[in-house]
Formats: sequence, C-alpha cells, structure tokens
Amino acid sequence: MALSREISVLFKKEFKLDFRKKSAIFGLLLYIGGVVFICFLSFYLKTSKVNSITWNALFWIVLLFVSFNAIAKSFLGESQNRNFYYYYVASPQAIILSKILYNVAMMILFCTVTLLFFQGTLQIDIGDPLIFWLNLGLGAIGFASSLTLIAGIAAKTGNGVLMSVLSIPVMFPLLLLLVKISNHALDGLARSIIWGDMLGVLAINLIVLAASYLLFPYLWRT
Amino acid sequence: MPTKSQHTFVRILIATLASCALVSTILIAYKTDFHTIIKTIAWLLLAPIGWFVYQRNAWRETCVVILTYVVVTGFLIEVPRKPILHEMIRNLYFHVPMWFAMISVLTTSFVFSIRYLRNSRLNDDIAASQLASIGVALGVLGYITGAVWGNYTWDGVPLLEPRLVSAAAALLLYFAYFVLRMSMDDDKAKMRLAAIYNVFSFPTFIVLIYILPRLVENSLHPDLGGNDSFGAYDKEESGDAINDNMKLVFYPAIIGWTLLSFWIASLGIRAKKLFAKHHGLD
Repeated sequence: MALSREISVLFKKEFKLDFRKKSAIFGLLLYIGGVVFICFLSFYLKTSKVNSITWNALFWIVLLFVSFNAIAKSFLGESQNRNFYYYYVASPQAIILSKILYNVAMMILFCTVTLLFFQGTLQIDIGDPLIFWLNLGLGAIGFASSLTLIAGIAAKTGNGVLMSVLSIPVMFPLLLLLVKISNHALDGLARSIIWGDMLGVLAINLIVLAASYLLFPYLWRT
Repeated sequence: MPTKSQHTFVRILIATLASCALVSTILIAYKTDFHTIIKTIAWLLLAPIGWFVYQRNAWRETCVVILTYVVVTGFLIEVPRKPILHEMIRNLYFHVPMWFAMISVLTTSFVFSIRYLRNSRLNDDIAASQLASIGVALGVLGYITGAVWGNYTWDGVPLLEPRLVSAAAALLLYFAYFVLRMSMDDDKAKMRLAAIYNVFSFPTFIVLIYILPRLVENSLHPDLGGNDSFGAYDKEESGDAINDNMKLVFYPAIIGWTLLSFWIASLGIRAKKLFAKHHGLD
C-alpha cells in the first residue's frame, strides 16, 4: 500500500536525520540525567527512602517535560524549503503518522531511560511491574500522539513558550489517568480496579490520534 | 387570507395534537399514572411554541420572558426543605444552567471552527472566537456560583473535588486558545492555527467535563460518585404537593440562560464583523 510505504520511508528518514546529528538524542539523555540528579540531590537522602506518591509525581512531571523537549523539535529541525519539497513528494497523512510513530519510538526510549535513572538514584520497589510497564508504554504513545500536532502548531507560530502552554491542558486528562494507574501499580493493588482507567487511556490515545490524522492536512497548508 | 406560514403553523398544531392523542393512548395502554401523562403532553405542546418562535425570529423576546419567569418564580416557588441546603437549593437555577450554556456555546464554537477549516471565511473565525470567549465567561460564572454555594454547604471548597479539577482544566484549555490567538500577528495563519487548536482540544474538553469526573468514587458534588442528583431531592420529599416543582423552573432556566448567552455572543459577533468591514479585512 502506498501510504504504508511512504510512512516507512519517512520514518527511516527521521531516524537517519537524528542519528546523523546525534546532538538531539544525546542532549536529551543528558537533560534527563541532569534533571533526575537534581531531584535526587534536592531530597538529600541518606538513609530513608522517598515515598511512592512523591516518587510517582516526580517521575511523571519529569517525563512530561522530557516529552515537551523531545517532541517540540520534531517540526523545528526542517527548513521551509524542505517542507515545500515534502509537499510535492508525500501526503500529509503519511508525514504526521511517520512523525507520531518516530516520536512513540523516541518516547519509549526516553521513558525507559528516565525509569533507569530514577531507579539508579531514588530507588523504589514496583509492586506490579507488568501494569507499570504497560502503563508506561501507553503513556509514551499518548504523549507522542497528542504532542506531535501541537508541536506543529507551536512551530508555525515561531514562539517557543507556546508549546508547553498549549499542551499542558490537552495532556491533563491523560496525565491524570496515567498517574493514577501508576500509583496503583507501584503499590501493587488488585488489577481489576485499574482496567477501566487503562481503557480510558487507550480511548484518549485513539481519539487524539484520529484528531491529529484529520487535522494535520489543514495545518500543513498554512 | 391566511399566509403560508400560518397554514404551516396550523398543520404543525394539528400534527402535535394528533401525536398527543397517540402518545396518551400508548401511555394509558402501558398503565402509566395520570401525572406522567399530563407532563408528557405538556412537553409535546412545546413543539408548536418552538415553531412559532422560529418563524417570527422571536428568540430574544422569548429569552427575556423566560428569564423574567425564572428569576421571579425561582425565588417564590416552594422547594423541598433539605437539612443543610434550605433556601440555597434555589442556586440550582443559576449554577447548573451556566455549565449547560457553556457546553452548548463551546460546542457551537467547535462547529464554527470546523466550518472555518473547510472554507476559510473570516465570519466563521469571528463566530468561533466570540463564542469561545462567552463560553469562558460562563465557565467563570459557573465557578463563582459554585464556589459561593460550596462554601456554605460543604463548609469550604475542597480543591481536590473532581468536578472542580476538571472544570479548571477545561477552562485552561480555552485560556490556552486565547494565548495562541494573542501570540500571532499574521491574520490568516492565526485563524487557521486557532481553528485547528479549537477542534483538537474539543475532545479533551468533552473528556474533562463528561468522562473524567465519572471515574472517581469519592465526591461531594451531587450526581457524582453515587450521590443523588437534584431530580431525586425533588421527588422524594413532601408527597404530591410540590412534587417536581423545581423542574418547572429548572428546565426553562436552562433554555433561558442558553438563549441569553447566544444573544450576548451574537452582539459580539456583529460588532467584530462591523469592525472587520470598516477596516477592510474581508
């Protein structure tokens, strides 16, 4: 199928661009390391552990800002002329889907790295690892799919602050559910309570994906 | 000679009466009690009135009549006597319709944004932005009436109340929409980006208002977390005498406040259109 071919080609292009420059990914990894280190130092822990609610809140807030920084650049790196070139060779649907796919991959990487750094400094026992990882994966997909279109809007305005202003309210329901599920998973409570919320996260992801798919052609034309 | 619209009016009236008869026979066949039959027929009779208002373009006058009725009757009519609520129960006619009106105004704004994306007309953008600002104003009013009410009935407003949290987030969405509009000079691009953001954030708005508050168990707010809604308060108390009294004011109040907010928005839209015409923007 033509669309899937376009998506795979564009996806590979994104990958190549980022690995050729290297600064983008390694810069973000350094950013995560620095932020987690500051979190660790600011608690000034010697003996006692940080409690799970604090850990959870900190973890998701760090992830939120990492995702802002990671996804904001997905439309900034390319010049106007190159955009005109894409206009001729690819369909807008292929471009947005490939960008979302690439951002999902990046977010899964960054979520894993953040979790590793957190476990390296502010250690915590995860009561239900399966649910926690599943939730993290759903979160990565949700972050990527809801932030990619907003990154496009913010890039068009040419105002760096707008990215976080526009995306925090849109992320709100998603983040609330993710934090709730994650809290349950850390405490290792019964899984049956959490399926409804998981379904909610999945539904929000699908809605946001559909909205991005439908709206990107209009954004692109400006 | 009766005009064409009068003929239509008579036809609608006859059709409504016929359907009243039909519905009442069905209700009698199902052994429904007399009270319900009368109420159902009363609602069906509203159809020709609605048609008349539509034909004469008389919705502004209707709004004035309904709101006068709501304010006067709302403070005079007998209400159920509840332990903590007492007379404060009358705030129902002001607090709840604000949210209803906000939702319908913002939904209309969403529709205008879609129309803007389809055919890029200045008028659609003006309508979308004006309706959104009226929606935000209604949201703030709903917040204030709720805060005053909660301060006395809940003994202070708990900030973690799920309805409050999601309403605040919903208002944040539209504040972000206005920040986006303010941050750009280029008119065409600004309108398009604002329309895209409005359409994109509307599903989130619906999730925040309708879905998220329902997912939590502990809440003080009526109609959430297993609490009764006001419909139940209205029923259980005091037998037949003032049964469903509050609905007599509450339902018109929803219609009245919604009409008023659309009226205010339409004035803003007209002013903006004149401004655009004067400066040759279209």
